[in-house]
Amino acid sequence: MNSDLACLVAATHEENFAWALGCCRRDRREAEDVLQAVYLKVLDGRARFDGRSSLKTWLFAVIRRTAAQHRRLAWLGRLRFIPLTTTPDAASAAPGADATVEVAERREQLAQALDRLSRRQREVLLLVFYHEHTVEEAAGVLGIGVGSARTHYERGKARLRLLLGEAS
Amino acid sequence: MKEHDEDLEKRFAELRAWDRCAIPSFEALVGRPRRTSRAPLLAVAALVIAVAAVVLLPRLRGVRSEAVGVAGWQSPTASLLVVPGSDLLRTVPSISESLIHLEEQ
Repeated sequence: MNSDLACLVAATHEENFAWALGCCRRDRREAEDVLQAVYLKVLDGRARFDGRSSLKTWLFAVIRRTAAQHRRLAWLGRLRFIPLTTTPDAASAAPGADATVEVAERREQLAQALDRLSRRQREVLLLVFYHEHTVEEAAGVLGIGVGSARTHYERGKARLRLLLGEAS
Repeated sequence: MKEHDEDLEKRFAELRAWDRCAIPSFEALVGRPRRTSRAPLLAVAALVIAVAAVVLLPRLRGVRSEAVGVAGWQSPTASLLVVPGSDLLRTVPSISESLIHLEEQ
């Protein structure tokens, strides 16, 4: 059963990683840790798919919860003045060449603007624009009502436009 | 409005394309050793010890002062037992001892 599940999870790995990255405020190292923990939970059977939603929605919800747990642990780690994870920096940025400097700037502006949104707004916008979910699916991942998700979506979008307008 | 959505969609697509440049493989992620930190556990342990100290120390101090209080208790009527000449009752006279004590020069 686990090998079937592993295949299904592996098939959505790119999407999962991108969502983990979004949940970890674009810290690649933390995203890797979170996603590894999620995969081990799923493969060990500690997280069980009950079929009430699609596998992808369920997996995204597990990633989101695990990232939240990781954040709390990181907060405890900071109590000892020891960083649990590195902060996003040049070293944690993805390697690869940019097509143009302009694209890189736009991307950076978006990442910074997203960082300034509330967590809910950021999550809804990432799910809708980045992962191409519907608002209803996003509500399922976040475990909130569709009306609430729609409100976060509209307010988040308005604020994002404002922030991007300021930045450009 | 729609135009602005298209701009957002374009920006998110650029971000997505960048992110996909360097995604570790599923097998590599599952198979690698876990990067666990003991810092959170130590922080929790330190927090528990600090809370226990704050809660228990005043209690222990209270128990000790209570014990001292019990040991030093005196009956409120104890002073009535002290009468003039009560020292004589507590000492035993000796036959060879003289009642006259001369101070030695």
